[in-house]
Formats: sequence, structure tokens, C-alpha cells
Amino acid sequence: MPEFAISADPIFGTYALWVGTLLAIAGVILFVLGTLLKRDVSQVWLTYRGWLIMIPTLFGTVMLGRTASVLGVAALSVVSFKEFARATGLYKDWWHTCTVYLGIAGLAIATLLPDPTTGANGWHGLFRTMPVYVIALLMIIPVIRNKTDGQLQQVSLSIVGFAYMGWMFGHLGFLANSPHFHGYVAYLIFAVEINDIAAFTFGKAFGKHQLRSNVSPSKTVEGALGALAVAMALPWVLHFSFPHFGTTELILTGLIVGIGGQLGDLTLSFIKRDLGVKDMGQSIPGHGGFLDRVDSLIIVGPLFFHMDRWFHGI
Amino acid sequence: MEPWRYSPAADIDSTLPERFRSFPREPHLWMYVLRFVAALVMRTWVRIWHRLEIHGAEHLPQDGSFVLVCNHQSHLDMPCLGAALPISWIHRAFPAVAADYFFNNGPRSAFFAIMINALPFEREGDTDQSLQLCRELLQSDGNILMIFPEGTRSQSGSVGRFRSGIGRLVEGSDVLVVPCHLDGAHRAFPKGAVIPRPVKLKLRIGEPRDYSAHQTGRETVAQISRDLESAVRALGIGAPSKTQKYRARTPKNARNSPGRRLPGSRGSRDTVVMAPPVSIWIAGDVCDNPPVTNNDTLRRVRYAFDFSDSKMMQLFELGGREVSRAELSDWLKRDDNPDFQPCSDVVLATFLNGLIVDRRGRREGPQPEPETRLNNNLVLTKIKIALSLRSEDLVEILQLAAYGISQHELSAFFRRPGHRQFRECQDQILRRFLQGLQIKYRNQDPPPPTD
Repeated sequence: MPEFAISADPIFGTYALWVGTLLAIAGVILFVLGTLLKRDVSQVWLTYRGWLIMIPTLFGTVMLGRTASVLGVAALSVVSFKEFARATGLYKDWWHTCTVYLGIAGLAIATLLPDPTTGANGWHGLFRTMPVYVIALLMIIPVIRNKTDGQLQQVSLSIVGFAYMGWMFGHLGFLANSPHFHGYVAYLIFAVEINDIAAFTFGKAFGKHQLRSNVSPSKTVEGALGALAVAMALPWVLHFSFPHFGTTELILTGLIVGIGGQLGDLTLSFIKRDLGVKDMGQSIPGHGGFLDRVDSLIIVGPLFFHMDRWFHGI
Repeated sequence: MEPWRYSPAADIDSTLPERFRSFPREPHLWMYVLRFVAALVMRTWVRIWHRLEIHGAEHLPQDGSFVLVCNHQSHLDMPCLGAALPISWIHRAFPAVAADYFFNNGPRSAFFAIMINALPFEREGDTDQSLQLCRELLQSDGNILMIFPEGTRSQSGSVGRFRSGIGRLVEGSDVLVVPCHLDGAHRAFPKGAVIPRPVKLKLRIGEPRDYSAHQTGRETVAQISRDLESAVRALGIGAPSKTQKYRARTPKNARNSPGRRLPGSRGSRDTVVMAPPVSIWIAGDVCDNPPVTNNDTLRRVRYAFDFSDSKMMQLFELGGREVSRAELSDWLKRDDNPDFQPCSDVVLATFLNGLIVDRRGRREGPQPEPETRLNNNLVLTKIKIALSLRSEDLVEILQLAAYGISQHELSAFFRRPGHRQFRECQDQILRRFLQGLQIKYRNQDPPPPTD
């Protein structure tokens, strides 16, 4: 698929228009609350400003085409892993962190290379087997360094870091090889955010039973079910994002976003609780770390990718 | 199975600009790479453009922490001193620089933190805390602190008077101090020049000095500063720096090593990285910082909220103690009044607990016992609770009293003692805070800026 501009892609244009309008409305509301009604909106304003920077960056990167999108996802992997490493203490071990960075670069290269047998965009075979090589490298580092103290912990954390923030998240980058990438990525990000908001709203309104009391005390069963209902309806509402999808794909998409998104959230929650940190970092003022922002996509991305690959062969 | 022990980065809750400004900084891979490149460029520049000559490099201690003390003539001093150290030491060599100038905005902090590994030194605010930071740095093994004790660049090229900070830093500690003298820098890069002239520079490094035998005291502080000043002067006129008074310790390996090979660097590139004027300034004196007594706190809180005597007595009662009007008035007297009675920790704690009950309502269940030992952190915490202050309010109150502090720094006061990030609240901060309370709650005019 050649690189195309936004004007040639009505799906993406529609999303850009919607999100732009939403941001504008939110901006006006914040302005009215803050300046005219003198309410304290500084915290919300910080979050809003974060979105103001993130959304154009996101749209811009995707618009620049396949290469930029793949590199963008790789860059997100790198900063997410960096946050993970800083939160666990792995960051002091430069051997392992550098190897993981190398692995993430390898994933980006495999995503960009053409498949040697079919000539199609993206060498999926290499992408799929990348963990083999990276894990092997990570495992032999203690041998090379002739060091044993705490090495099992370092290696294990690096493998989790690579597999989770590099490889699984990297599937979102591999999706850029699909001709329908614009619609997919716009839908996934939009749906995941809506899903978050729905879980929060339903939880606030009807929440009584804690979903996982130890992992994330604020999440409720009611919120999760409400979010799932919204997520199931959303593929039909936004069917224009993937006009080639049949009923099966639409149902699966709803399930993947509705369940996977919340699982991604909870997964990061348990990691943060075990580490004893509140956010994975303060990279984006008002939002916490990058990892706190992309947590849902880490599970949704690969599941959606494999669903799409199963039905439409990417 | 035992759970793993994680060690998250200490600055995990800080934003990037805060991370550059905080100290000690967490190791960062990209930062180290950039710093290495910057060091190469600076070394190449001073060696080729200024034909830097280094004498006495064998005096540099090979292990343990030490302080490098040098005269200050220009922005070139830092790269020249740096060039005297092996390049593998760059990440543990810290020049102390004025925090209010070199760390006053994000990009600048990032630049100096990355490029020269600068230690932000508070010249005006909390000098004691900065000195404490330097001491902690020197306590951990193998760190090098570079200090220019004149505090400002000399325009004539002569060595100016050394300020007392260096004396306060090393008195009674077993950290070695290495005096250095750089010659020619004021001609090579005078104040106001844009591009350094290709003037030859000479760096002489003297024998390490040891002040561990010196008892602490103001006399010693002045003596040490004078001694180092004369040592640097002596190096400047080419004389060997020898004083009988102080035992000059020979570095462990110096005898056997025939002078260490100096780190040279190849390749030439125009440098854009200029070192800043590095200065350590000790503003004011120890005596300008009298401790904040419990009576002070009591008086100032009363004044800030304009409490009457009966209101004060009522507050004490809420805290669980009946107090007579006479008792109260003795506590509130000035300390030069003969009837003055010192207010004990438990009395102040009772009062503050009463204030909390008054403002926030009584807690259910058993009432907290007033502490028998108070410290500034506790006082601050109690006032914070009583007035339901958020950290941004505290920052604002301190700002009213012309004291700038970040929420991040502030949060360290409210940690458990023994927590990694716990910091003791200095008297100065409590005093400013009480001042700020008066301004905020009594609408008093802020004090003139201290400059």
C-alpha cells in the first residue's frame, strides 16, 4: 500500500474531524469554567494540554505513512520499557536494557522489511521469532559477564520488558503493513479511550462490587460490564473504520477491546502495585508515564492483529 | 519463595525538568553517552586550541573521594580541570555551580546536568542543605567535587579571597583537598568575550591536603580557607605548595607510578560547549540562621491568625491540656524578658493538636497523645493538617516569604524518617513558612526580596 495523505483517506479524515471537534469543545468548556467561572481547573487543564500535544503527534505520525508509524510505535516501546526499567531498578543494568533496546530495534526492522518469500510488506516470520533471539541474548549476558548475583531477576525482568512492552506492543506497529491501517489504528485508540471512560462512568454511577480488590480497588464489576457493553456496540457505530468486516469480526473486535482493554489496564495495575509506585513515571504532565497511557493497547493490539490476520491475512 | 526486592529510581515521581534539577541524579544511559561526547570535545579544544599543559597530575588521589579547589578566571576553568582527570572519571566528577543561575530553567538545567555533571548549589536559599549534599557526595566512595572558592571570576588573573564554604565543607573530614592553579585563562577568555583566544594555559596541581585533624569551629573554617588560598597562590607563582602546619598526605599509588598518563584525545571539532563560571557562595553567616524555638512557632502562629489569649487557651484545652493565662503569657514573652518560660515540645505538640481539632474536628476513637519530642518536620506536618494545606499551598506560602521550593523537594519533609527520600526540615524553611503564614493569613506585606 503506498503512503497516502489524509485527504485520500476519508476514514482518517472523519476521525481527525471528530477528535478535533471534541478537543475544541473541551477547550471551550475548560475556558469557560476556568476564566469566566473562576473554577480551579489546573489539573484538568494539565491533562487537556497533554492531549493537545499527544493527539496531533499521533495523527501526524500515522499520516506520514508506514515507516513513520512503525518507528513511532518502536519509540513508544523504548520509552515504555525505559519507564518499566526505572520503576523496577533494572535501569542500572545497562547490559540488559541495551539488549532490550536492540531487540525493539530488531522488531521495527522486521516490521519494515518485505517478506522474503511473498514479497509482502513486513517480515512476519522474523517478527514472530524475534523473542527467540532476544531471550537467548538476554540469557547469555550473565555468562558473558561471568556474573551471577541477582542475574535471574535482571534477566526475568528484561524478558518481561521485551515481551510485553516491545513485542506485544510491537504488533500495533506491524498492523501498519495492513492496507486498512488508518482505520484500524484510529478505531483502536478511540475505542480504548471510550472503553476507559465508560468503565469509569459506569463504575461511578452503579459501582458496588469491586472487580479485583487487591489489584485495583477503584475498578468495579459494574463498570467493567458497562464498558464491555459499550465496546460491543462501538464496532457497529464505527463500522466505517473497517467496512470489510463481517459480523464475526465486529463481535470479536468488540470483545477484544472490551475485555482486552480492561485486562491491559489491570495488568499494569498489578505491576505497579507490586513495585509500589503510583505511576510508571511523569513523562507526560497530567497523565503519568507513557506506559500508563498505552497499557490497554498492549493487550488489544496483538489480539486485534491476529484476529485481522486470521480473517484477512493482513 | 522470598519476594524480589525492587529498587525503583528515586526520582520516579518527578517530571523530566525536576529530574535534571534534583541531586543526586539517577544514572541515565543517554545522559552518560552525551556527557562522554561533550568531555571529548572539551578536552580536544583545550589541548589543541589552548595547548593546555598539566603539571602535577600525579598528585591526584587514585582512590577515595576528594575535592579539587581551583582559582577562577574564566569559563575555561571547568574544561581544563576536567581535562586533568581521566575520562573514565567524568561521571563522578561534579563541579558545584550556582543553582539560581545554572539551574533556573528546564533547558539550562538539562544542559549543565548532562554536559558537565554540575551539582546545583544554593547560594541564597539553603546553603546548609547544599553543603550537606556536598558532604554526602564526598562520603560515598570515589566522588570528586570541583569547587572555585572565590565565588566569582577574577578579571585580573590574581587569586581572590577564598570564601568560607570550602572550610565548612572539609573541616574535620578525612576527605583530601587538592589545590590547583590555572594560569592564563583570564587572557584566553576574558569576561564578555565570545570566542576564546588561543592563549596557552597551564594547570598546576598541588599536593593533597588533609584537614581531618582539625576540630570544628569558626576559627578552623577561616584557617582552612586561608590555607587553601595561599596554597593555590603558591602554585600560581610556581613555588611548590608546602606548609608545615598541615600534614600533606601522599596518595597511595603516587610513589610507584611514574606520573599517570594524561588522557589525551584525538580529532578536532569546534566546540559549542563552554563551561560556566563555577562558584560556591556562602551567603550570610551561621549566626544569621538562629534556630526556630517552640516559643517562636507558638508566637508566630498566634500572630498569623490573630488568636486572643482565651482562644489560645481553648486550643490548648482541645489538645488535652488546661493552661492558665499566666503560663501562656510567659511562653509568649520575648526570650530576653525575665519572666520568659521556654515552651517544651510536648506543650507545642498539645497546642498544634488542639489547632487540628479546632480546624478539622475531633477524630473518632482515642485521641493522639502529644509528642514529647518534636522536630521541624512534625511541626510543619501538624500545621499542614490543621489548615488542610495541599502541597501546592505550601509552595505558595513559602513563595510569599520569598522562598522557592518545588513540590517534589517539599514532599521529602513529609516522608517517614528513615525513608530513602526523607529530608530534615531546616530551621530556615520553617521560619520562612511561618513568615508566609503571616503574610497569607494576616495580609501582611511580604518582606523585601533578600538579594
